[in-house]
Amino acid sequence: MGAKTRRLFVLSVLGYSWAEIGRKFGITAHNAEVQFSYGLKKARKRLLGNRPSDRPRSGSEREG
Amino acid sequence: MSHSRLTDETLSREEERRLLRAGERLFRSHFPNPDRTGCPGPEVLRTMASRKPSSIPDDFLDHLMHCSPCFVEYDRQLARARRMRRLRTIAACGGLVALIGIAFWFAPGALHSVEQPQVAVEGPSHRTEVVAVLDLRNASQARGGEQATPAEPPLSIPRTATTLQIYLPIGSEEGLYEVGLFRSQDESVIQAQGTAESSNQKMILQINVDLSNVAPGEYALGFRRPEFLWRYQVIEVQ
Repeated sequence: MGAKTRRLFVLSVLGYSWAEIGRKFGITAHNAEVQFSYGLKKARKRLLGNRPSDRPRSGSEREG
Repeated sequence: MSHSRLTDETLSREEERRLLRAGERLFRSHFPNPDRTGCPGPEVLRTMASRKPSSIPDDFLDHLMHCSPCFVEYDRQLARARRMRRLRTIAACGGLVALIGIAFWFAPGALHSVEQPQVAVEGPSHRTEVVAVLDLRNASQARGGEQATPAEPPLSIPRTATTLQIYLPIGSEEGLYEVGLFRSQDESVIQAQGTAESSNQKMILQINVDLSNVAPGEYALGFRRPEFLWRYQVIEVQ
């Protein structure tokens, strides 16, 4: 899970709304939620996928 | 490498709930940090919990993810801060409701001697008509010869009044009335006549007055049917 996705996650666990979380990152609430879901799916794919996709961390993990 | 396109799909609510519960269990217990390395201290945790998330530094969040004691303490402070905010909101709403209630409670009392708002109407003489209502139905009056001592605060009329509408005491009869405004028993500042008529179960005596030359203060408003005794009501001209 990338750094931004982790921070999105911990804020969500702490009970902050997506609107509050979005304001922290300068994005909309929906965008925050989508970015989080996307980051999670990527992490899950990397953990569970059997494809030889052990690529080095690329630009897609650069989540500013 | 180009970014993959984000699809506009989020987790289902159930998936999100399960994930958050798992995450909470993880953060609360899987990072003991017994030496409390890098911990910011309870004051910092309390301060951060009272702030909006947009002002929480990223390194602080990163620490929370790797220190269970700090995560637990922060979560506790956050719950406390949210409780206080809710209480402040409830108190503010309650205070506002109380203020509105007090305003409505006192507003009618301030206008007790003027039943209706003063209606300003341009008459033919270009003098603005101001109607003042004096409700004497339940007020106690003194009769001729007695001291006009009021049991309650005097009724008041503005000096700008051009018309007095007097609701006569219950039991008063229709007909011609003399009305006077007396500074003392022998000194009247206003003398007028009017006819009392029954309307909406009230006996209303209406007279035109000019109080512009009457000094503010307490006076005795006297009224009587001709050849009857005067009845007085203490009023205040304001």
